[in-house]
Amino acid sequence: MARRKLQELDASSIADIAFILLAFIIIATTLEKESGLPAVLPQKRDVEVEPPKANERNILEILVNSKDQLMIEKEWDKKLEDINGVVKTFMSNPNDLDNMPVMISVTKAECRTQLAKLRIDLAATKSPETIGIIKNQMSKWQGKLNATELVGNYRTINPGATIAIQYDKGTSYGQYLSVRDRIMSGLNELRDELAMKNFGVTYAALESIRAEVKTEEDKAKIKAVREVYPQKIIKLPAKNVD
Amino acid sequence: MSKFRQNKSKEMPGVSTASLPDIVFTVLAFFVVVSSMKQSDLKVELTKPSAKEIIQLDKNEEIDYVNAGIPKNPAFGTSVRLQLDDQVVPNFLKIREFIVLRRNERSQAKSDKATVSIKADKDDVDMDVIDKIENELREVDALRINYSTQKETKR
Repeated sequence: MARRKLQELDASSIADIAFILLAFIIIATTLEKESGLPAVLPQKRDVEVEPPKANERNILEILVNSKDQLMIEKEWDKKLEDINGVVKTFMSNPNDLDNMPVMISVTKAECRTQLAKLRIDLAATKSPETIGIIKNQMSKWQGKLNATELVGNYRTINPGATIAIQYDKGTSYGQYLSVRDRIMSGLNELRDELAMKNFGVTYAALESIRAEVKTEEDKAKIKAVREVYPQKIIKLPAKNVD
Repeated sequence: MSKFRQNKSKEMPGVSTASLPDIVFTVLAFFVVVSSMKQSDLKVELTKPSAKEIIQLDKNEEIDYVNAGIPKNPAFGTSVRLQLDDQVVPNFLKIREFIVLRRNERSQAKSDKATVSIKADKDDVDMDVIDKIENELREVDALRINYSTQKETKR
């Protein structure tokens, strides 16, 4: 049988087209991804309220003056390197000291009791406002329960405690960010330790998993670690400090 | 013997280039995936502060940039100015306009997740400027922000 041979398509020009596209993409793009220190601003209020005076032991005050000098807990001449350790002891209060924040222990049993209680409340109420509040509470306790399931019963800082950064109007942006960065690095060290102990990987490693391959399990682990060591940094309104 | 002679008379086949487009397309696909479009040129002097604990923003996240620094061209002024898109503006109020404009270009779901990245010079910009920027952002309810930094050696 006579079979006509199929004429092969001339593919040599496709390479040229692809090269032109490639050249365009390389020129028009940059490999640098946007990165930095994320933060969430407080919502705007009609009347700016002074932050409530919290108990002395519940606040870690880091002050940066207009000459970029540091004061930590009323002590001058501190260095950026000192922040790390101070934050670690503040967030974990390992020796239950009186001048450090009160630590609360979260247990599985307690989370379950609280959730059960809230469920009863939810069934009993009809006002949409209260339902909202109760649901909010429930998701908080659910988060805690999820955390205990992954890391066991844990102790964490009380919700009123914060790390406050006080700065002057003349403080340089660079110095302010360095302070923020050091606080995060202290916090992340604690998170790393916890994640290492419970999951065998550091928190940084969990975080750096790319979004496309991050599993629900990874996300739950990250959430649990954050539940134990929450990021609590506030920026106090600028005032004159010398 | 005759077998070998026959073979010799044949021409050397050329290297097939049929797979070349595939290779190039693979490289092309790689670049498309890992890269993002170049931002508008900077018109202010800007050395980003460096930090260790940085987090990479999601590629799919919508990001608006607020740049702050001393203009490269002295015609725009010699003190700290803002650059929004291509424009150097002296007025902080422009931030609201800029954010609202950007928000209208996007779907609701996307603009809820949008982040404003503050790129500011580490020495020239002081906290007074940052405060003013943040206050403007709060006015228009753009609360998710990012302090843009360079990478310092990782711990």
